[in-house]
Amino acid sequence: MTFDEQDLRERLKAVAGHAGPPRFTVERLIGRIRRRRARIIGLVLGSVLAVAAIAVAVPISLSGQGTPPIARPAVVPFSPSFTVRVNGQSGMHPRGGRIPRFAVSPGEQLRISIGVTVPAHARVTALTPRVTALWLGVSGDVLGTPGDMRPILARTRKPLIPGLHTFRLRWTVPAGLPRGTTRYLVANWEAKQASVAQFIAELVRRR
Amino acid sequence: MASWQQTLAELARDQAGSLKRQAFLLCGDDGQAEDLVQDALVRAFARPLRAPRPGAAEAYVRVIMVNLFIDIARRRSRWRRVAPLLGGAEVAPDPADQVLTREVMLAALDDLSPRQRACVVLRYYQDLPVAQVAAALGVGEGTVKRYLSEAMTRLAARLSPAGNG
Repeated sequence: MTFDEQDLRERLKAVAGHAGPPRFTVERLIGRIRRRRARIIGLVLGSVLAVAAIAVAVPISLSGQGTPPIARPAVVPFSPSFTVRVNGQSGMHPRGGRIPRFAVSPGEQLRISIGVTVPAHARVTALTPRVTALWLGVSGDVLGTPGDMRPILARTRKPLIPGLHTFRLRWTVPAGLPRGTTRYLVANWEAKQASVAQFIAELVRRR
Repeated sequence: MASWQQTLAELARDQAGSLKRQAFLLCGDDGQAEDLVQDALVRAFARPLRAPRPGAAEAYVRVIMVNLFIDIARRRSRWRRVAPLLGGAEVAPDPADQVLTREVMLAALDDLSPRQRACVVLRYYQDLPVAQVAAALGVGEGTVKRYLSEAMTRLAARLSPAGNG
């Protein structure tokens, strides 16, 4: 017997038949895709803000020739930073993880303290970016609009000035939370012509 | 449900098994094949403005899967050169003929370069014409023919009765 293309086709077919059945679920894939989309959109908006900031900053700096130099705030894209404490604990950072993780139990009442720091260069002017609205809430696996939060724990439409803003929230972990399930604390903030959603903490059911 | 989610659900329902089998031929490992399929689906549908159309989704995902496999294999090649020095555990061959045949075939495929392997899977498992294989990999038809020729020579050496000794 010689080895030919037909032989190869049959062998490949036979080997492929040994692949196990797919183990993924569409729901989990959709969750992954939404998180990735949100990240991509965040990057694109960041780039747009950067370009817009440069477009504003360059003419301003050029038009300033001949006048005495004055201190102007740097116009750069910004992102508020978040610190989270649950029941007085600051949580643990898993290796390689960016957000803190908290172990929670079904039915547990959580006292959540979220510190939102708006950077100093996000000065409130007509042209520079600023946080104009903020939602804080809990989400299963979805990072989208405030409407995806279940529930929304806090919201404000008052512009946040640079500095630290602390939100004290309460949430009871659902009694029927299945083992191995994760919930996320989510922040959704709006700046000028931009809306950004991000996970800020992970709430994992205790084993 | 958004249209991309419906497309994804239909693709997963109708083609998940087929995608997994192709991934298994590329990776030779069930776990890696599972990861490859999921990563390809996530990449295919993650671009908000370039989500695949319903009719073209399967082919689009397959192309992403093959190119993802080549990228991963390229990154792992450095590790593969070092790994034997660390003395991995020997795996005893399964005496069952069927398993032995599969292991021999997978070992022969492992012997190919990632691009050669991708060409073989697309051409002889997916039955794609050379032109489509070339388009999927972003190379010329002549290059695909060369990869296939080299791959067939190597596979024949490993799989033909004379090659097996």
